[in-house]
Amino acid sequence: MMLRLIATAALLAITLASLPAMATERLRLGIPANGPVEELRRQWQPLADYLTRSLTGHRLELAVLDQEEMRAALNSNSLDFLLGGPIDLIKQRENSVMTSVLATLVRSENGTPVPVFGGAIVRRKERTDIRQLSDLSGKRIVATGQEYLGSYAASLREIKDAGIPPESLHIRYLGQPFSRVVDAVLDGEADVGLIRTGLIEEMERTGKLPLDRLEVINRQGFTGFPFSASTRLYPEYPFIALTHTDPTVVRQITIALLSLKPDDTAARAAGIHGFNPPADYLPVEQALRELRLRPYESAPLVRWEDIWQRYQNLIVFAGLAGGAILLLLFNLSLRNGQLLAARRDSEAANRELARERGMLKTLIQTLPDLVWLKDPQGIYLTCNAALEYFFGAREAEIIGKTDYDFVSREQADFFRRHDQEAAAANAPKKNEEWVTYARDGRRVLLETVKVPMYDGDGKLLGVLGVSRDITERRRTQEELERHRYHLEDLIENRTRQLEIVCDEALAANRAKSAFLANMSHEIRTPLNAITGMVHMMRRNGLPTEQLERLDKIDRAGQHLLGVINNVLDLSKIEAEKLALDEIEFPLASLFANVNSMLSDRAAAKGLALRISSDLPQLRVIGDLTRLQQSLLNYTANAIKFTEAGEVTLGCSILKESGPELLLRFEVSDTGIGIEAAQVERLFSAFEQADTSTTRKYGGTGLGLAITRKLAELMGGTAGAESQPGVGSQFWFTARLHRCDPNDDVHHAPEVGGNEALTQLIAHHLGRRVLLVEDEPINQEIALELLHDAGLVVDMAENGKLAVDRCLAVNYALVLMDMQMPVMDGITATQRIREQPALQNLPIIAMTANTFAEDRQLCLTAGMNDYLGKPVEPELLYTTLLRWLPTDR
Amino acid sequence: MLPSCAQSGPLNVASHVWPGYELIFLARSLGWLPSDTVRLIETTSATRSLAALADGRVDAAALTLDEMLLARSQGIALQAVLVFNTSAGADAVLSRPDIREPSQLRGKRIGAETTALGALMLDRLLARGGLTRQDVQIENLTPDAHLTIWRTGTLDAVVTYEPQVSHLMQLGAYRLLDSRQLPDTIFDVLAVRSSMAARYDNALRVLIGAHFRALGHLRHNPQDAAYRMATRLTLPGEAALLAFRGLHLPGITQNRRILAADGRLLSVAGDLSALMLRTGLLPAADTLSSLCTNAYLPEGDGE
Repeated sequence: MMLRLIATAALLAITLASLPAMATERLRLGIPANGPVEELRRQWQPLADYLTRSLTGHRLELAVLDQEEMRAALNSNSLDFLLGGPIDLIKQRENSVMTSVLATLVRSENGTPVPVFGGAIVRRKERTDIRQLSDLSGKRIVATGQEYLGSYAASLREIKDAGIPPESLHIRYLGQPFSRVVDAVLDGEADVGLIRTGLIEEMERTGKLPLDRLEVINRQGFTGFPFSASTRLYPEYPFIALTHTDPTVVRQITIALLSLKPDDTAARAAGIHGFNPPADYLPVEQALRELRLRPYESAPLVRWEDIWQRYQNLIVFAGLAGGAILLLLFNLSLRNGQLLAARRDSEAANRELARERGMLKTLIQTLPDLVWLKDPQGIYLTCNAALEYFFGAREAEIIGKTDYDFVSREQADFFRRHDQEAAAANAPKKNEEWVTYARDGRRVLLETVKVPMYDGDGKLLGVLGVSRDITERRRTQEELERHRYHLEDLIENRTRQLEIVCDEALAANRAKSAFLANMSHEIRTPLNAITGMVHMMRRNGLPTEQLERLDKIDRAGQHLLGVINNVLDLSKIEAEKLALDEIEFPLASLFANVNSMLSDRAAAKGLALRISSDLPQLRVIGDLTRLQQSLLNYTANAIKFTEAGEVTLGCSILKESGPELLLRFEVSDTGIGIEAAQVERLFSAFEQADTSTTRKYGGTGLGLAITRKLAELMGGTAGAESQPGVGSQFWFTARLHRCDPNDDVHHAPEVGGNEALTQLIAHHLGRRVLLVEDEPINQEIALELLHDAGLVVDMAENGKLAVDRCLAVNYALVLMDMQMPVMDGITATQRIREQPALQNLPIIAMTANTFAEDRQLCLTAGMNDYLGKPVEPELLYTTLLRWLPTDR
Repeated sequence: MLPSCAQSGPLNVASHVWPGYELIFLARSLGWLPSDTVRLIETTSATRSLAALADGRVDAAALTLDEMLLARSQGIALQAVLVFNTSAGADAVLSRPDIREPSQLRGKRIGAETTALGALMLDRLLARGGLTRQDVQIENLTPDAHLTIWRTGTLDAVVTYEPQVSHLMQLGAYRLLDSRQLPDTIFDVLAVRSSMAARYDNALRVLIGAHFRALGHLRHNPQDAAYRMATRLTLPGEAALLAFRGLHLPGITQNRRILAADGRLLSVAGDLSALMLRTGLLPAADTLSSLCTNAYLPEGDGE
């Protein structure tokens, strides 16, 4: 009684202990009953427990089920997981969409992981008649059942692939356990048995099978697979999660499966190595499809795609053939249509031809020219009305006859000869013939074009002729000819006369230029001497009296220079030899210069010299010197003729069109004024207002004439208004270009005289220059000036010596006189420039010729700049400063 | 189908052990290569395969592209008809575990095949370490000797490839450099004697077709394929699949593109020829004429 109590208590305790577990959720893992249930439970329960331990709030319950139970459980969704054969997976997948394989089983054999299995086809060892798969035909074959991969489908597949239709085999199904198949073969009940790999080895190990009794046929060569196999290998059992299972649980289970180690109790109990990530079970599916095993028992639907796949080539061929036939038929009907159309076209063409022929006939008949066609023998084939008129016969009478029947023998010969020439020439031939019209005896000049005509085969049909009456034309031509010859004679005469005159004029002109040049040089040179000497004498310190006398000489000299310049200017203008410079300068500087030059003079007379405050702020392009000259002229005059008050200079823009400006320069004064009648006379040369003013005020009377002439040269004019006793306004206009800053024009020097000297001494002290000058006095003057600037000076008396010196010595600059014996300045410069080393040597011309063309000549010869003679010291220094190279 | 000029016997193809070449051997083991059409001659190294080509024992060989260029430069006119694989990691330089940088190889002993690929890998290795050939000791090896020599401990580094790479790494070797650093440089091809290609038209088609069939088998039955190839690859069971790491095996369509007249093989061959000329492996740049053709590939795309 006591024992029973204890037992009950123990049982209760156990039950109670398991109560908490029962309160958690239950999950079911199904495994197929491929052996004794108890043994399977013993093997797999540890795994279930292991998996349970990995879950929280869940318990995994093992269910070992046979086929029927399995099917029922799957249908009623009462399984959560399944560890079954690969065929179970395929079947399950066919029935529910979301069956997922969590892992693939890896069995263990002596510590070696075995993640695959296959089938083995066994025979008794003695049955050497069964060696290859082909030997299985007609043999008695046993298998456990059709729902197994390793134990059935795998082997069957190999058999089918070997060419033996499975339907032709006699297979008996023995059911569980698997060992029944082995026994049947051993007993001789069957010739061949289909089992899974590893069964034999297991049975031999457990002593259920005597060693070496059975042989595996169609052995595959696997390395690393511990069992004999007759088939290809497939992945081991899949661990499946069924559709409805909680995803969190699935994840936990998967992790636990993949973490299972071989030495774990659960693994050892089941005889497994562990689990691998899920393998690809497609080969299993393929095998089932091939064998038409469940779930692929029904014949596959034949789809259009399949037919296409199989009979692709045939279909394409048939299609192409059919297409070709259709194409030919189409072509045929097309041709037929074309033929009909062609016939219609030809009829239409004929009608058109007839029409055209009619038109052509009319055309030929109405032509005024003679048109005919003769055959190679000269017989007329056809002709037009004009020919009828010529021959005086009708076409019908002409055709069939020759020229010999209608005109004189010589004429006919003439025609015939030309016909033959034309035929032979194979090109149109033209000739002229005087003929007599039969009808009225008129003599007419005909121009005939004859052309050989060929038929379609290239045979000569005859000669076609077209003749035109050119009698009138010829007459007119001849008359014109006569006139022309006469005219040419006339022209030739005239030309000869003109040439003579022209030569004379040119000669005269050249003489005049030469005269002017010479005069200029002849006069200026001594003047240069005078003023130069005066300058030097003045510097060397003299008693006051001498200084005053020197001043007078200087002034006289300056005056003389002014007169000469004016005379020369005027004669130059008369000879139209004056060319205007084009210098860019600010308008303001023009006035500033004039102001600075004359301010002393004005101040000396107690006059105010003003510049208008509204001067246009412009830069212009024009002849600065000439403008200055004119303005100076007016201003000097204004000062001269004004006793008290002021002189004002101004400028305004009269007209503006684009860059061109018409400027008006004006000088007004509060001077003695001029009678209105006399204003005009002022501007003509050699006239003075009246001789009394000359004596009182001096002057040559040339200045205003020159100013007007200069203004006219500059596209303007000059004039004046005056009120006697009140004052005068002298003005001139000029056309100037507004300066575009991009214009590349000679810039006026901007540094004033004395400043130039200072800078020369500062920057160029001791530099060596060459002075080329033949006149001893001019030499002296120039030398002094150059020495004052601190330069070292070498001398050359002519161009040749200058060239030699330049080759020998490295000069900073050369001052070159123009007119010298032996070799003049131009030639010397050219020679110097021939030397590559002397390309950049600054050469300054000192020229008495101030004509613009001479200046241009200097520049063309290769000179860099020019100085007029007599040399102004300030200008010399500015020019030197400009051209002496700044780098040493 | 017109019968080709009398084929005197099967097409003999030389091949040493290399995962990329294994597919044709797999095909053979699955009965897809009739031995009267194609005979696979197993050699121990690329050098031996080249020698077999040179003395006419075989008319085709499984080679790397640079090995093919080398043969061409020696007067054996070869044409590539199939790309087995491109290497992306399967060729490697392995070193003793204490050597982690190429520069550490100064003064050390390196085992390599000084012909073909070995020289190329060596060249790259030295360049990376800023070393010249004079800075290291080169031991001339054939690949069958790699494992044994390594075990003797007389080498500090070795230029090698799968499956030796896997073996040596299991012994603790360190992967110093591999073909992933030389992308699209190492092609493994089936090279046929150009003058014989037309004669063996049928055999080539059978062989190439079998390769792709085996490739399909590998794809869908990797375990089965693995266990079959395990023998020659000397890696147990499923581990044989590991040998295919670092390999890319192009299918029919990709093969067709690569072998085309404007395909990658030609352009890579040009670059490779220049590189080999520079490093003195070739006497002159390859003309690249009749270098490859996709004419023997099967129709369609295989599946």
